[in-house]
Amino acid sequence: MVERGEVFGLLGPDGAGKSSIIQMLTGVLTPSSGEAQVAGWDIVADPEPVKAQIGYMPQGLGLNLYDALTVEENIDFFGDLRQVPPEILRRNKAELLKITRLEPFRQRPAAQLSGGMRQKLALCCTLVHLPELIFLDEPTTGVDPLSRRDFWMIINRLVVEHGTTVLLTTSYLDEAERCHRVALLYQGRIIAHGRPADLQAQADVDSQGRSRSLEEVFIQALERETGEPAPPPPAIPSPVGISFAEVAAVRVEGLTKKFGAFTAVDRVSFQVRPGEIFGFLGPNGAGKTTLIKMLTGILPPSGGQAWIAGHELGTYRQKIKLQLGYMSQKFSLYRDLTVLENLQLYGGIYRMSAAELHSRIPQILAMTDLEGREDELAGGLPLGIRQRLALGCAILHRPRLVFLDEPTSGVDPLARRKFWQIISELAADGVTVLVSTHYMDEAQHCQRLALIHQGRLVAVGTPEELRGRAEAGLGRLLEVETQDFRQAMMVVQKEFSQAFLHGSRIHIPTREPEADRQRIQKLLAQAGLPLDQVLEIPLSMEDTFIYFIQSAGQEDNSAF
Amino acid sequence: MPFNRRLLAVAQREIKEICRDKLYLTMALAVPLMVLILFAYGLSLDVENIPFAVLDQNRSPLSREYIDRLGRSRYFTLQHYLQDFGLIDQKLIKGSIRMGLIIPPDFERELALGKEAEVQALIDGSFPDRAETSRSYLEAVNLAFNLDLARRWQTATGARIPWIEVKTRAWFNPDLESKNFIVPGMMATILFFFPVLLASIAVVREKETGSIFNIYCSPIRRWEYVAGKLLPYLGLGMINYVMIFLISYYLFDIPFRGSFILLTATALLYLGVSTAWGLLISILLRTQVAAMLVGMISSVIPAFLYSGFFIAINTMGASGRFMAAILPPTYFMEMVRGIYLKGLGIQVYWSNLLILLLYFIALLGLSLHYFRKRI
Repeated sequence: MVERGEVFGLLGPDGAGKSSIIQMLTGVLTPSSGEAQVAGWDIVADPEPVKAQIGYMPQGLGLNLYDALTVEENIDFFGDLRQVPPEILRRNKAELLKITRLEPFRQRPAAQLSGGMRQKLALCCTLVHLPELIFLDEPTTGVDPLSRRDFWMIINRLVVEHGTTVLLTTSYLDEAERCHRVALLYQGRIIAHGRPADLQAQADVDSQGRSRSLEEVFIQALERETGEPAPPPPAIPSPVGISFAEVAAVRVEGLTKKFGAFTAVDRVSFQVRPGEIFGFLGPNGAGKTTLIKMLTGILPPSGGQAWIAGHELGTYRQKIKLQLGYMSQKFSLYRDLTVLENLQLYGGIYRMSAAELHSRIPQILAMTDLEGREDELAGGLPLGIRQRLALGCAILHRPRLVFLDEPTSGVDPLARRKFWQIISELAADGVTVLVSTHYMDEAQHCQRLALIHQGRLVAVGTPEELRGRAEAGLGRLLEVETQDFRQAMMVVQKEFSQAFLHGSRIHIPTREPEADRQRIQKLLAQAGLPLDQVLEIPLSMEDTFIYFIQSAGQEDNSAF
Repeated sequence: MPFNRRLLAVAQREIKEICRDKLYLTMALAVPLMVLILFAYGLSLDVENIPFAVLDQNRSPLSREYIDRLGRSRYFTLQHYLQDFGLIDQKLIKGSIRMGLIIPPDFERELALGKEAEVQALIDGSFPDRAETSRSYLEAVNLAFNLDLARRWQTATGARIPWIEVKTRAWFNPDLESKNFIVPGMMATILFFFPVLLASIAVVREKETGSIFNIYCSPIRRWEYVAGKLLPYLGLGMINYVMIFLISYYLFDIPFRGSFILLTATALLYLGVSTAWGLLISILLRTQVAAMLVGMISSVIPAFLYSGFFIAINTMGASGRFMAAILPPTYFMEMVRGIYLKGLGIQVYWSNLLILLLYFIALLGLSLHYFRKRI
């Protein structure tokens, strides 16, 4: 049951069945059994009538757009398909272009839009007939944090102003808090559902008395479901004791990669200390993969220099290559080989002797928790386990430096936790790990982070440092909890232009927490609205990232 | 409502997409013409100037006259006088000659005695059609030479020998030029395989990008989508048709004796068949590569091999005739050649038209049946 005017989230890893549910509800996929009603219509019997009243945005960054058409033509096409009267079409189009800030790009072909803009245009197209009910399939996966915030603003506005019902799927657990209710999906079954706050309250409380995150909720639900005990959150090895005194594991100076007119990586410089877990955090298309490919020597850079363990890029020999491990973003295993055969193949590629392999393979199997699965085909393994095998192959030859390109993308939280456990074990052994991710919440597992946006490095530092710098610039957040958050948002917005809705809570950046808290209390009291509590909370990694993107943008503007 | 807005939206969008992809548009317009020109110039079925060599062991005036007669005909070109039988063998193997002629030492003497003289011809039989033609030409030239000998003998002796002389005249194509046969035939083959190729990716491309979900989830009716996809490709096919017609008329000077309106109407119907066939493939398959392959195989082979384009259908075996009868290009091929060269009208071809119409309805019906707004 999803209620009118509600934002309902379906959460789960890849392959959990999120898309299938959405496709069944939109009448695109025929259910094998069961019943479903959408807007009062029985969609199992005949899904056609309901299609006029819903909007559906399929998975993938604006993949349903027509590249050859301009922004406006795309919207018009959807308007024509749904026979929106010209007058209403013009009005809706104007409003949607305004709130998505796509107005200046009306005449631009969709092919020339960035990932975030495409996603917003896809949203405009889905909303052009202002449907009562919209289905969004992973609308924010891999989208940059700025566009993500825009996206949520638009959703909240629709809910507040038009009473639209939103059903969306996501694999970001931190997004769940923005939904009114969520259902956690695993292997096609709902393993928990309810309001995020209630779910958190049900979960065990940790030693410090804070209610646990939704990740913990999901992991505990998974434990009940699979009977498999979860490891504790990985301990982050302390960065203390590692210094630049030694030769940097990786040193990058002004590294650039251009593909024709497009600059994928733009003058990036940073250093990685030996034995460090160094994270590249950024949305899809930011240049993470290109950067990693240049550092592994797969892709020649267009400019700049880089040194791996003191050897300049492009000059290092076979010996250095043997010290590198690389796990690519795409599935790099041979599906028709077994776990053991895959490992043996990689051992052969790196010319390991039979004796070495004999002693090393059991170690790897133990480390990646693949014991007992040696004879299973790689293609048949669940995604999370397959990724562990890929990691095992990448570290088989005992590299001193490992590049992991989005190893946890689409993996369920339990498997993700296990994966990070292995990474921290590796780092404890002195292996340097460079890992890329688009999950903001994974930043906490890295000792140092590079925030990457549109090919540029917008900030480098430990997660705490970065958050501290952002808080110094932006202030902290006040979180307002109230029963009637829609009304409250309207009221608060008049005084605090930067306020934004975070699910059913209102977030307000503040430099003077006490004074602002009192102002908010007064405002709501005047409007006669109830107020549960106002809390001061730290900036999230997403807020931090947005702060750095915006301040990098300002520098750019001042330079011109 | 004066027009169907959803259908129009689908068609317009498709047209915009085609027009804005410059490479695609160039290909869609230029490839049919290139195929036409390459085939019309390159594919001459006429066998002329067959290179041959002679081993003349007689070296008499009569043997030279015989060789000269062959060499002067437009069918044969004398390449070498050889001294050695082994050389004929070599040149045939190398392919520098297609025929070797051996005249025995007693050629003139035997003839003078009123006996039969024998001449041996070795023909390269690796391409049977051409070998067959070479042999016919040789026999014809030989017969003419015999007639001459007979005339001389008649004059010398005063005796009378009766014979029959055949006077042939080729109707519809008086000079027996193969281009008059090939170019209208190319119209039938091109207008079949090319629209199939173009339309075969029309729907499947949307399935690959994911934009098909826009259609699945909208209130559009199935026929509106199928018709909206069909029309732009039909239009593109008609442009191809007009270009082929103009080129055939102005560049190749193909005589056109029939009704242009009838030809155009038939072409439209025929294009409907081929476009619907491509669309059906596109609806049934999931990837562009598969659709292109199936489209290619299922259109090029019928269009070239079973349409009567190269091989006359009544000379085919039973299975070939059956294939030809069930494939649509055969019916248009018959019509297009008849209209071009014989100027035949609808009274002869109403059954062909009816058959093409049935194909169109059947293929469109199947497309509608198999296009589901579901995965």
